[in-house]
Amino acid sequence: MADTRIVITGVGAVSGLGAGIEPLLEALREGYEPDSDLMEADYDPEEFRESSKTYMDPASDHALAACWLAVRDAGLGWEAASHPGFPSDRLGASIGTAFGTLESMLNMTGRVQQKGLRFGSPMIFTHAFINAPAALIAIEYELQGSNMTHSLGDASSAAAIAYALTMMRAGRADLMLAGGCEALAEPLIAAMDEREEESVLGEGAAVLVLETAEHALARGAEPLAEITGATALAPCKNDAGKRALIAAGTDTARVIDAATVCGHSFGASVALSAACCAALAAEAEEPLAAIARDGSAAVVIEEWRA
Amino acid sequence: MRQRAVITGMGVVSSLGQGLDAFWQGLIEGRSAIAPIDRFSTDGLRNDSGGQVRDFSFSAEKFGFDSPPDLATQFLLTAAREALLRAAIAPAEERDPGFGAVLATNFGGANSWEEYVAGLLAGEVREAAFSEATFGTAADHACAIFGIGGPCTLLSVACASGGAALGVASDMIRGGEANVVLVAGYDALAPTPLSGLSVLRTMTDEMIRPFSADRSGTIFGEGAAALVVEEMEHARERDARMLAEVLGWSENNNAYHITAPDQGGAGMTRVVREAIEDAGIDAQTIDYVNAHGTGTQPHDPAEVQAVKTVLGERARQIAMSSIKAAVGHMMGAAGVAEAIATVMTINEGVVPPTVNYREPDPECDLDHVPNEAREAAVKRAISISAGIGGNNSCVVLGGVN
Repeated sequence: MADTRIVITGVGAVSGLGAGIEPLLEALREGYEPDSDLMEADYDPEEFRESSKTYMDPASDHALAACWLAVRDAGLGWEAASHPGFPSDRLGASIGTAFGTLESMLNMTGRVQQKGLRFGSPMIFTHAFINAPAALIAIEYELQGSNMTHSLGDASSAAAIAYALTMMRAGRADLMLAGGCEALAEPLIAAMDEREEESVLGEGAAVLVLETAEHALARGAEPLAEITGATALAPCKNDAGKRALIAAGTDTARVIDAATVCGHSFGASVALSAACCAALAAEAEEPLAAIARDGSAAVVIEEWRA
Repeated sequence: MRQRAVITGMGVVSSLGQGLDAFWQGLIEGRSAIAPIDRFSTDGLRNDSGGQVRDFSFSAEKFGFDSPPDLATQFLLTAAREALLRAAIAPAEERDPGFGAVLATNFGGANSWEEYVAGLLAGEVREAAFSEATFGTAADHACAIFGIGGPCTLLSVACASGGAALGVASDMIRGGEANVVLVAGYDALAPTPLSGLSVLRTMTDEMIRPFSADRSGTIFGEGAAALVVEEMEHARERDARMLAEVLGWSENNNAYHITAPDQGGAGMTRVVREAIEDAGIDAQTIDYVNAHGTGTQPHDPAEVQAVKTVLGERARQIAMSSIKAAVGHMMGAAGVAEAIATVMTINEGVVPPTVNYREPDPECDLDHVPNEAREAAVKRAISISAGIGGNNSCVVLGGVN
């Protein structure tokens, strides 16, 4: 079971620095420092979707855009929203988000409180479920296998990636889109202002294409990196140690933190950092790690060696 | 050889009352706790009734809170405490790295969210309400209170959440990541979710009647259901009572439409087949099906068809009942509550009935155990769940010899 090696064959990200992983990598290289308290996602969602949508929550927009980029980066050729040669029930998605679809939730609850229970919108309500982004990914790419949404604060996307890893190691899936999304909706910004949160706040999404090494090599894909560990532990705010990192299998990894360049993006943070780790792994001399802000969750990524 | 996952404790807060005994007694007596909701105005909903938790007592102090957490979290902590007490697991003094948690909810701190938005609309930012509305906060509370320091997640795949949570926990045990995992599903009735479920017409304007020809939709309920899942040897060494084994599970997505069921229940058929395959058992040895059985027109026949497709002839020889007309559709708690009912069936030899049943439907023609509980020897059973977003889950449970 644990012998099954899982590789990353593509990454996709959208953030306050734009669409794609390159702006994040460049900013990390240059030691860029955000010059604003809010780093709002900077891209056009319409450009990164397979099908046209009448209504979308921003969190779902971010998640779908990151998938669009990741799927292409992995050379999957899923432009037609189908995947010839791939059995759909072996493909899945696992997405983490701390706050989910807050804009749609506010819209829905605003109607309910101001106009009455009769006036909820069926369309907005269905898009307000926290599992809407992952469900929309499944529909967009016909992923009929495992489908999961995790909401565990800053560790959300680490939990999502750890889940995908577990599912694939257990032989329950061959390929999964795993990552996280977060949207800077008004209710979140208001609460963070009240909390006097000092970090720069960001939003966006990042998705890794995870495959069993066997599956990736069989389709002739070139792995970007290998994912060697991912763990989300019980949230524990006072834990200063990197216990999650150790649980993920190493204590010597170099930590990559995308939040320094695109703002703290809550549930999407670990995924954004992990996407950068995957892109940098080939040049790195040591394992790279993405860790949740409270130290309770980690993803460890290493150079792929066949 | 992978580890085996057994259930050693259970706890419930439901509209049938506080505690496992009230829940199970109510179920086998064929009672329905569905009644008009009186905690908030239901004006404008298709139905003013629900499975509301009544006479619920929560001592914030006992759990170490200065002010009470969100109502749904109160349900969660209460059910979890009962499950741990019944499993004879004392809260750890320090965080136990072998103790994990998998929580499941649809709407998290939904009542705190209402309070937060009411504040925003009045120009006031109630930060504490936002914190309690945030899903992950419930995991913060539960892990701190019970000393959980191992692998943890909080899942939300709509009404398939609870079943999936039990499966995920069993994988943590089978994979050697934890010795003990607390599984808990929870949700509370609140205006926004009920408004949405009403305008989607998932909610009936009459009464919930699963599998009955005159069914017209579901009715929602609230509460929490918790299980202690434990590695078999760990349980044996401390002489814990093993109530059932989690033999296998699966979760998937229809990848068809965000609310409409897929054609012919294909996703549900696959999830049931995969769960039984994961258990490594013959489908002909299944003795009971605890159905998702929401009582909506399209769902029930699709679920019956899925069971017939996978179980074949066996489907006609065994019972397939739904407890949703007794406690309402408990949303994120439903899958765990139904797993608990299934474990009780295995241990007590009694199948809980499908209450509010009136007319046979040719499309739902299995033995749905109408209105009255029945004795039956059940060694192995499955519990099925499905939800908005096209998510499905199925768990296979078996008695422990």
